Amino acid sequence: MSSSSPLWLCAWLPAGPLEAIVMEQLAGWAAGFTPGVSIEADQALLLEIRGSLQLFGGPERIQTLLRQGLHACGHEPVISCTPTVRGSLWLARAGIECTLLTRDELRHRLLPVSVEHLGWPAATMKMLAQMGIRTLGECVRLPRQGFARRFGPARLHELDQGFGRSPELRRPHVVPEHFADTLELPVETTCVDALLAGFQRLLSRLGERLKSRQASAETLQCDLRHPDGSHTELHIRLCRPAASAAAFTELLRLRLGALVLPAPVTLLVLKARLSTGQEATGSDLLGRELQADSDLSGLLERLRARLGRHAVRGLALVDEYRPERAWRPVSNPLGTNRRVSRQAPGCRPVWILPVPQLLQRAAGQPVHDGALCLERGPERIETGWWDGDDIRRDYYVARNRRGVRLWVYQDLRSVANWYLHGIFG
Amino acid sequence: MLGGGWPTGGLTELLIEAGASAELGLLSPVLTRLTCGDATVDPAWVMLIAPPWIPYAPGLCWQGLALSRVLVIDVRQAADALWAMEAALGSGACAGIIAWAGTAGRVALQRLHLLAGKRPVWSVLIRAARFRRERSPAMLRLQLHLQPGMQAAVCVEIFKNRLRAAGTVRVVLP
Repeated sequence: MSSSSPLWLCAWLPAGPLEAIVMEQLAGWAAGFTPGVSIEADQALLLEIRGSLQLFGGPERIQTLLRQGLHACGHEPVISCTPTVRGSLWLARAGIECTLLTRDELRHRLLPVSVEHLGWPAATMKMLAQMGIRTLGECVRLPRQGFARRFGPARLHELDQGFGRSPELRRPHVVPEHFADTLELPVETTCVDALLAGFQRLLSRLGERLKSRQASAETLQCDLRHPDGSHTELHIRLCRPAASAAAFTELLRLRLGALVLPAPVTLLVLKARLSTGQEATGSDLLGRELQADSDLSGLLERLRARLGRHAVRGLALVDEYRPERAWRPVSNPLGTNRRVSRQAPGCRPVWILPVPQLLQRAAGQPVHDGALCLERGPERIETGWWDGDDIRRDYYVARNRRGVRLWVYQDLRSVANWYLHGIFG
Repeated sequence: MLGGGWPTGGLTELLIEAGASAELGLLSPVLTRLTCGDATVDPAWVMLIAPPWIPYAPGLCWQGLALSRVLVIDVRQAADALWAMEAALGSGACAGIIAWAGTAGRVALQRLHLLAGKRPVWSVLIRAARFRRERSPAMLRLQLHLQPGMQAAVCVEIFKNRLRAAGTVRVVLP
């Protein structure tokens, strides 16, 4: 067994599922043993303890400490420790307390365990019972293909994970942490500079906290308390979590500048939710790219702070024949993948009108700033019958007297009305 | 055109006639090259600030642009377009910036011009033809004339060029 392979400790609480908030508290406490803590069905804690063995002096010592701590909170855990997540979980559910360091040992201990500890649905259990399968050993002796067909490949995969034949990853439970701090202003004020200076002091305290915890913050809540007890709230959100408070200062300046205060301010409150994991800094092979993206996310934040959240968008194609639905705005353009898509749906204008504009007609021909000359077309688009919003149109590229190329269509469902839909250019 | 392509590191001012014009058709080859990249440059971001209509994604894609690198900024008041352009120029995060703006004070234009000179960014300010008489610090000033008739061609009049001589170029659009 290599020293880097995982070792999972499961603390099963037979007293029944607990409140989610209680489990989160317990997980937060258990994070003192290892950062790799996760919660299973609000009834078990799973700890990946390989990296903590040396610090605490072996798996038995961790088990003892964990048991003492849970006892103190009034819980009676069954603790089992094996190389796989599910192995530990199944043994603990079966009430078997043991410490197994190799997969072979685990396999021997798992074979006689009853299938009822797998936690599978009742229908599956009934089928197993009908087949006369009572133990995990009988389960894994069944032909794999037949098992997958009968019970689904997911169940087979669970068995493989339990016996250590395929790896299992668990997302560690992230312990949320909050920052809250207040600053009493020496005098009541509505002056933006004074307020900003106050917030800067709070932000520098937040920055120290972020640094010491190696944490980052994504959203910030700023309360400005007035003498009569009311308060004005500002919410600031970054495109991506920042590990330093400097990212917030400029945004706060913009927001405070645009703020109309109903009364002077006496007290400032700054709240933030911290998340673990520092932001990536441009120090790897892709350093240049990361740096450019962080410049861009900073720019987008400034634009959003002044122009509004919806003022900044990206563009994407949608697989849809109806021209007005063939695209969509992207609210988080940085999050989209960078695949260069080049499948163009045909000759299309670069501008589109939000609503097609009905064109005047002269002698049966459409007119827009002079008679239109139809240069290319028709391209018939007839679709959408399935959702009741069907269209039947003949599209043309037209040119008007001034030389502007327009995208017009003739609606074939109504009495041959002409509409302007887009502009080339 | 222009003896070696569009200049970067300086503000370009493009004047258009009121109403629908062909400015995006003229600029799209550069936008395509910037967003898709080529053997010598990586794909980069471009920003369209305060466009007069909705930029139509299938149409931009038809022109060859990589949509995943296009940002569109809407503004509520005309002054915000210049502010957004200034912010984008200052950040250096976009390789191409096109802004549609109306009136612009000398000071605002001067600031844009100075910022544009600091980085190799392709920045184009699009304004109405009636502003031609106003003095502007832009490095390159152009006016777009549509050609009535059947040909898909426009005339680009270069009436101020700090780098080369002025003149008129006829461009056939795709």
